[in-house]
Amino acid sequence: MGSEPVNSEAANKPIQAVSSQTDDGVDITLIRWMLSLSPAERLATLQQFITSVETIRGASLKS
Amino acid sequence: MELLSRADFLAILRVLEEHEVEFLVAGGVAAVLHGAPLATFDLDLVHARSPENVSRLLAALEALGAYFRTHPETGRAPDASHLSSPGGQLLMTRFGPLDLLGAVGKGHGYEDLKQHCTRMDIGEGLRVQVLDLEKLIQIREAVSAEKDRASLPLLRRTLEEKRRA
Repeated sequence: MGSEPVNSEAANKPIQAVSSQTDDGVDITLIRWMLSLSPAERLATLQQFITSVETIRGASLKS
Repeated sequence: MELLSRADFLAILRVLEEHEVEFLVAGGVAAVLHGAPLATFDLDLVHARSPENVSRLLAALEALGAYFRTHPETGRAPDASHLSSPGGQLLMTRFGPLDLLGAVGKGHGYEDLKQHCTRMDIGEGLRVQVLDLEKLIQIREAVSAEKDRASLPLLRRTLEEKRRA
């Protein structure tokens, strides 16, 4: 990464504040990301999410 | 009786497949399999209520160590009469929560819903029937439960994006 040339024009361009949410409050970028995955990867993502929550919950119960 | 179990959807589905249970995946996990970015902690399945399938399901539930999570202190498991009814059984298994539904929405059972399913590869060589997103939305639109209706904007947007892709 560090040795790759930096596009200074792009790097200096201010990032526009763009809302990723639709009028009904849905984050469309998350839908597009999920749709880029296979069903097996989607299930694995959900499974990882649950495992993370359980791990955090377990840690908070111990502390 | 330990109520908290580590959730492993794939493990539950594998046991049901090994016992040749006829079922389809509905609810939040079906929505996720279709690409909806939502979180859910239980697995909703609609099962065939034929006597043969109920027998296979009972054997699978025994292998899963299933019991009613509404009455964890009893450790009581569902019997054939529970699984033959259109009602829902809220269970805990050694691989996490499992909701077995005889019917969903306004009385849609397995035989009715299986024509609205897609068979999906969900990993580790498992292929299961998953309720189509269109039907899932229709069912949620028809029910009055606030928690089911709350996810409708997300499901509709997911369907739109899928059609656009």
